[in-house]
Amino acid sequence: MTGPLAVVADPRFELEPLVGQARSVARDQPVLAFVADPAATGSVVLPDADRVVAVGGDGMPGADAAALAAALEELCRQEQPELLAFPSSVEWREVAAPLGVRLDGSVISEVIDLRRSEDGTLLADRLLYSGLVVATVAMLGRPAVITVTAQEALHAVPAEVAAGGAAPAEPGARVLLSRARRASDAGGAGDAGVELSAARRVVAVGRGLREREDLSLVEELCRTLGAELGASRPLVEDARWLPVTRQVGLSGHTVKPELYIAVGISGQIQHLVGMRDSRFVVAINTDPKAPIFEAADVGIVGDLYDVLPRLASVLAAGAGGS
Amino acid sequence: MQVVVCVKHVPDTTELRVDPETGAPMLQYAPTRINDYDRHALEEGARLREQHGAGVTVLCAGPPEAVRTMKEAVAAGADEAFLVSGPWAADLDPRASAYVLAAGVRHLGECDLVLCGDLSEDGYYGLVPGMLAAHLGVPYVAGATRLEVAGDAATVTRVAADVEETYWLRLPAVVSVSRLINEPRVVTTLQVVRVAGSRVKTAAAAEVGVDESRLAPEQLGSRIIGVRSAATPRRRELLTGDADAAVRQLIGYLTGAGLLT
Repeated sequence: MTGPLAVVADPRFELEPLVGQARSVARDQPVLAFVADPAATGSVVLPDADRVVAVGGDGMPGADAAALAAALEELCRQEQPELLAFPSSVEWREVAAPLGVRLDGSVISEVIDLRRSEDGTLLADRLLYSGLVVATVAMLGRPAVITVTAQEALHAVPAEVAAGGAAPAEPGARVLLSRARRASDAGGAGDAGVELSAARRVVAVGRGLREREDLSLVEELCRTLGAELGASRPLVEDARWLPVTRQVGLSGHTVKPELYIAVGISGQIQHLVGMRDSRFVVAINTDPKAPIFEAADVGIVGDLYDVLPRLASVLAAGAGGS
Repeated sequence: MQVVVCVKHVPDTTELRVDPETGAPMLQYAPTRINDYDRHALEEGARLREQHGAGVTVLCAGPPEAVRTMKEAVAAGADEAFLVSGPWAADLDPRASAYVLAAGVRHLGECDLVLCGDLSEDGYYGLVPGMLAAHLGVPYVAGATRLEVAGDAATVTRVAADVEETYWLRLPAVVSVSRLINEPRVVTTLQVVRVAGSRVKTAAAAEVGVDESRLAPEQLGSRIIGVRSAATPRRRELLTGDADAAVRQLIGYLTGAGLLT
């Protein structure tokens, strides 16, 4: 009585990580793709599922999370999956959370790896304490509802909804009034297509930078190295010197470059979690006790205002650029 | 209007370290405080109290030492605080938290709006507010960046990735807030010390109607069976000479690692 393994396909996210995790624990079990977007059924993003089941809705969980949760609940009662995996996002957590309660199985979010114990129990790895440790969670209930950390598929564009429309009268209701792509509140048109997660080299800057104008120092190094510019949370959320598309860390993006240079970043755990898979990490900071140095391969204890111009000029003079 | 703000008492994750032998987090050495995300929920509650005359109660499912966080929360702009405590509070299970918080909300009586932070610094599940809403049978919006209340409804704007959405919600409802929603006020030690003890109440889970047998791992559906450090091994070469020398040494390392081709 094993039942299938189910993944929820959302065209805005790469499906492969979810299907890959499901297949890695499948014991002669089919993988079903529950598709919320009817237009995506049969599209090329779903080559790996054994069967595709349309759930209905307008393709976005946000519009009707309650109805979507109810439809998924019904599907789970019919198909009896052992696993139901969602992509990790604000909207899918709104669906997975109540679904987990109603189905009364296990519910675990932000899963980074899935496997089985010797006795066949599903085990999920996830980070705790803002990325300090990896915890292994045994999922004792059925179905095991999980959200899996998945990359956004940047080609997907959400359907816009105009403001206006009557609000319903009944209690328990939630109505989408408007939806729009958000204009970036900092950074120019060049930031529109920033794909930090795919960058081969990243230079990230933090609070060691004194003035917004000094970003030019870092940008020059980026140009010389052919690197993308990244930033720690304080520069994005507090100072708002850079847009969220450039944020690296727990509440920003995860990057996996060959080379990561952290400039004036102290190295709090919430930041490290976003760059710990970098192949080679360089840190530049005036404080020799800054935690970033423990997460770096090479560290320069020095002032970025001295180091960056010298680094850029030596690289430009030599064969450093790409 | 009655608002309940749910807060969590957590270890300060910026100060927490891992035991190098076992990979386990050294919780006994880290200071504890209010979950940073919940400070924003508290600030939103304080704003509703100041601008709309709403009654605000802080609710926490946590260990006994969370009383300190309760006082700080009242000082940040609430009428009173209610702590539901028990041994289960030491675990990080979101289903347990949601179940106990739901019992707490029902126990508090009339409630139009429940506010929470989107996430907790220690668990980072982001599931508790949604599960709480399911237990209470009310609508829910996550990631709120703006909240307006009028009569028996709320208008909530939220940002998910690059997309901004605005929702209309019939109250009662649960709203979890993003850190972008506001700037929490600073609370001074003096303000905290001045909070009368009578404004903070504590109760055991059974007193608010919790069936503690439902907090066993088999009932909750999951159990943490191991932890290990998340750190990746690094070389940790430290260059402390003058800038010119350090830069040349760095270039040497990068060239040697084939990173400059």
